[in-house]
Amino acid sequence: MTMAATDPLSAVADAALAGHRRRLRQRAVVVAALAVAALAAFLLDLVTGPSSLSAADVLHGLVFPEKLGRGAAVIVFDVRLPQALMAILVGTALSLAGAEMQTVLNNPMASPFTLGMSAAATFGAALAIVLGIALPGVPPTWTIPVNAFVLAFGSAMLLQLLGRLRSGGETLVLFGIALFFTFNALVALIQFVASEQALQQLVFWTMGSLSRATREKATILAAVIGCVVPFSFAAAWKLTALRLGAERAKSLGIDIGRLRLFSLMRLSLLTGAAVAYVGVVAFVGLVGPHIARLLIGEDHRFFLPASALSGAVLMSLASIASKTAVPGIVLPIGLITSLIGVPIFMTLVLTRRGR
Amino acid sequence: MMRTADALTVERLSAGYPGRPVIRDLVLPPLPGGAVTALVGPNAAGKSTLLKAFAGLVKAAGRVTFGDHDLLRLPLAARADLIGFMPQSLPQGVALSVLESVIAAFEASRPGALAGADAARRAITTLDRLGIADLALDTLDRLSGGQRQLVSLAQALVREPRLLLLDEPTSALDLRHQVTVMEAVRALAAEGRIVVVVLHDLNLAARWADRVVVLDHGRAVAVGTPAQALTSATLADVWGVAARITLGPNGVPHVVVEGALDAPPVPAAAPGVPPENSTAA
Repeated sequence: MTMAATDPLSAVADAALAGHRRRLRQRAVVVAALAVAALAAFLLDLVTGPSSLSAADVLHGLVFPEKLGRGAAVIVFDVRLPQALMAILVGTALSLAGAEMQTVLNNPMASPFTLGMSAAATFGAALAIVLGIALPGVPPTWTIPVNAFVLAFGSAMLLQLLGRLRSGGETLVLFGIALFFTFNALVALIQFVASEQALQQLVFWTMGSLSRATREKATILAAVIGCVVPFSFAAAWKLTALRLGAERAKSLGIDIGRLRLFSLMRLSLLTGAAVAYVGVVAFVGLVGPHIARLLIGEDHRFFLPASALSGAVLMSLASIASKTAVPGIVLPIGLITSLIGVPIFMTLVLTRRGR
Repeated sequence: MMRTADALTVERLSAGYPGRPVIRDLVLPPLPGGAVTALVGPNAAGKSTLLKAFAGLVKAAGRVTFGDHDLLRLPLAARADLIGFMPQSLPQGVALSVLESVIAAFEASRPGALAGADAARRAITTLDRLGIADLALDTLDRLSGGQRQLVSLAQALVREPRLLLLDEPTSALDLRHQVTVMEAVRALAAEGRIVVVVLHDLNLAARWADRVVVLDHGRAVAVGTPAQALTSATLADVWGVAARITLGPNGVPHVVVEGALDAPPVPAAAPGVPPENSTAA
């Protein structure tokens, strides 16, 4: 068989190739549209809040900061901007992590939340809040996020280690579920001995909140995402091929163990950094990839950015909802993502069936 | 054009899973290029394991030479350029189009080998060659069983491997699709490839293969043309059945199984031997 790229194609093949190219263009448009949606949600998030600042004031103030009053400047630059940025970044990080996780573990239910990473992070936070346990040399204001990060990252590494004992994505998922319950039990144990004040702080942490966001934290999270994303995208073809089955992928020359290891390292960095600052945020890491998959399929060159952007849009919308659902009160964002995540997820599952 | 001189030689090959050796010290006469070799045998005979050992999917020791290459010592990516492996089934629930899946198979471990448009062109050419270019934009999940097998074959073929390994490509296919797949397989061999195909149906093996290797308990019991390898004695020894072999007008043997022999040689699921469908993930 000669399959040189210069051979003439049959009419059917020619039409299919044209259709494929058209589809690639459509996908690029969808990704661009998601980026625009994320930007729109970000701006809407910025202008939403309990203070009396109008949308025009906020947007004008962003462009001309010197014209803002001192109080308004604090609201815009120290509260609204870091929180809105954080919403976008956390959504991006968790959803990208979820997308890679679902592929390398070959399980549509995999996400940083369902496989125990968030629970591990909570345990880390609980150690700091209730027992005052922290790594030496960490400044007091950083003990909670550092603990959360270390535990989330550590749980992902533990997952990887356990996975080496018995290979296969399914085994890893089972280990992840075991980790989820173990860390939840440990957190409950700490709650049992906690003082009332510490308990309150811990419960607030587990609900997930953007209220602790600062520009510094947003910058760090952005840096983590910026470091991880190029490696994620570079693995896009390998991840796509992995969807054809582990045996097929290996026969195509892919070192699956290595692919899985590096992917787990990337997603534990993303998850660890995200939950360290905002606490537990459920469902974004699960639903974001599902939305992306429905919109543009699993060619990971498009699926990964679409997942990241879907997560950013979801998280930003959740942030808006957390400020507007109950007038005068900002609800913890983790509550919102759970509440709106469940119906979205159910709808996705049902429409998937119908396809 | 393919090089036809290369043959596949197997010397003292042992392969299997941790703690469960399936194939021990297997020796096969050289499998020639341009021919279809069928691996047949009862369940747990080691057919799939042998194929996976060639493809680097299970642990293996010994020597498997293909042309100048010692397959067992080649790195995965280099081996993938020589070998196309078609597993028994495609996974379900994959949101990729047929064409995308074939492009991904091409790009997987050597991204950038061709510019994106050339890779797509090469993938569609492969589909065209198998007569399924019209399916290119369909989602994998919407395909019928026969279409899935052909797409899976296209994924194995897109890199133009010189050695093609097919694990039960006709399982679960109706008669028409069996013929379609086997005709495609014959045409691929005719271009000089070595094609090794695991088949359960002995009559399918007799009809389409140039050579038949009968495996039992990880050993080659009979090797030769279909008429040489598939005899009443072999069928009685290996499968424990009483069978009559008739020769068709073109010399193709036809197996008619008349019943089980009283004392089957070994139970199908011997302890320590993995089931036929087990995968080495």
